[in-house]
Amino acid sequence: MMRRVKSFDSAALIQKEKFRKFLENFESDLLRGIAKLCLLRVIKQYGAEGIYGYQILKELEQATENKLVIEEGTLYPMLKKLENWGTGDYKLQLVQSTRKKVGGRTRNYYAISEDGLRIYNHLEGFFTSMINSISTLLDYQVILDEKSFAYCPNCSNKILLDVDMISICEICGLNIESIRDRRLEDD
Amino acid sequence: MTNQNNQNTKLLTEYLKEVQKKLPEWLKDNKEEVNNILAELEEHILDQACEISGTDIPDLDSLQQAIEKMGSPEKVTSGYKQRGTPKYFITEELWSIYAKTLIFVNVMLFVIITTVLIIFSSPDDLVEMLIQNSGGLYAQVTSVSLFITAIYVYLSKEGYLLENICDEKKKTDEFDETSLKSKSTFYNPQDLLRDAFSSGFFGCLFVIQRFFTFTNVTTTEMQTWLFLLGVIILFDSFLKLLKLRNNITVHQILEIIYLITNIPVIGLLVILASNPGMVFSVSIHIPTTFVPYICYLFILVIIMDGFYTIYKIYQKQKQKQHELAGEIESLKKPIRL
Repeated sequence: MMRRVKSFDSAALIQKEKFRKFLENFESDLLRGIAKLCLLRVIKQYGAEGIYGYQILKELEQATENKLVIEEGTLYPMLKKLENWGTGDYKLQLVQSTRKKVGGRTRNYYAISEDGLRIYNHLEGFFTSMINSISTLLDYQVILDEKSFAYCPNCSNKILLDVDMISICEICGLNIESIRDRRLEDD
Repeated sequence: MTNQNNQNTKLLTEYLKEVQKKLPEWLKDNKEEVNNILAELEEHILDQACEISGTDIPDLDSLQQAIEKMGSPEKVTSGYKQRGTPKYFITEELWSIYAKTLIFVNVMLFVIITTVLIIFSSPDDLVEMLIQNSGGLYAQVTSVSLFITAIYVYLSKEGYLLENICDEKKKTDEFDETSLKSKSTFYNPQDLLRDAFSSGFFGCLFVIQRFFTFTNVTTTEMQTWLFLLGVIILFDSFLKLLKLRNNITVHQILEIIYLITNIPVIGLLVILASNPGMVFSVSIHIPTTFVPYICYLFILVIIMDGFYTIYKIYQKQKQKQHELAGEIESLKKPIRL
């Protein structure tokens, strides 16, 4: 992130406070949503077993080659929000935490909930579709795993292509039989 | 090794105490949640310190570095205050109750002032009377609205949501002597806000009336008297808002200040009891012989309330000593590795 970028020349753009500030703010806005998506992804990978906070940070740093770094102080409030999002009738629990003793240490382990999994699939699909759409604009190519996944044309929900797959998109209810069948035919 | 462990424990405990102090007030009332958060932070810092030192038992320097990496207590706790969807300076979640409070209070204000004007002025033309007194009405509405807005802006900034303000659980400020456990340490936010709003409402009413003479009902001395009382009541409402801070020492100090503010109130009541004729102006022929009795009754109530306040301060002191004893015990425990 810009905060960690060193400047090597006094005339470099990031030496000026206003440019650095703008770039830091912009990165912060952009990464706020991406960080949540990546957190859910890491937690999802550990299934019912769950993963604790420090481990989540290490996984993220490793997987993103230190590009996506969530600060220690920000991680736990973020996890708390994922565990308890919204208010009143609009409450959602995307992750669940359990205190477990593993290897002599008691820690809070986070596992993705059913709602969390559904939301994650949609968010991942949406994000992937978005990146794919803007790829030509930004001069890079996105290679989607079209053999394993399809994306709902209505809401971009990521759908696992499977023989036993349901025929209705879980997020928006669109009938996706034709998409599924077409993909399977292509295979 | 034991000495190092003790130093490590002390450093970590002090840091976590600072974090606990900076947590938002609505969260502090949930002791289980607070303990959960602190335990998680502790584990994270220890893991980080072990990684830095490369050993299972981190040294003081590694622990210090891990704490620095975690960030200052203000930074760590700021994330917990970011609740609600921002809407101007008041979150969307609090907006509806804010709007309702504003409307309700201002309608009440309008009704009370108009009623007083009608009773004592007996106007021939109500609309004409309201227009004549519009300056005062406007000042009252503005001051009360500003007061309410300031409170809600503060609540939004601290991350309060509707569920934290309108908590159905009835909490009392009781301390169980047998088990030395508090049934509840702190006040219900809903009660505090309600009391603060009603005090603030009357405080503003009494203060503003001094600058806008609605009617010739009272004498100038009585207007000044009401103004002084209004200032004390406004100060009292501010003290009630400060009680949202869940800290026993703060509550003790506030109770002492509250006791002190009762002294000028008693003084004002004595003045009124000695000069009952100042209540109404000469044009109003209402007997004031009952006024001293009402004043003495209020003085008695204030004195009794003062004794109860002293009792509360004493109870909170006992509670503080009990919690301090609990903290010393936890400090003796070594860091778990």
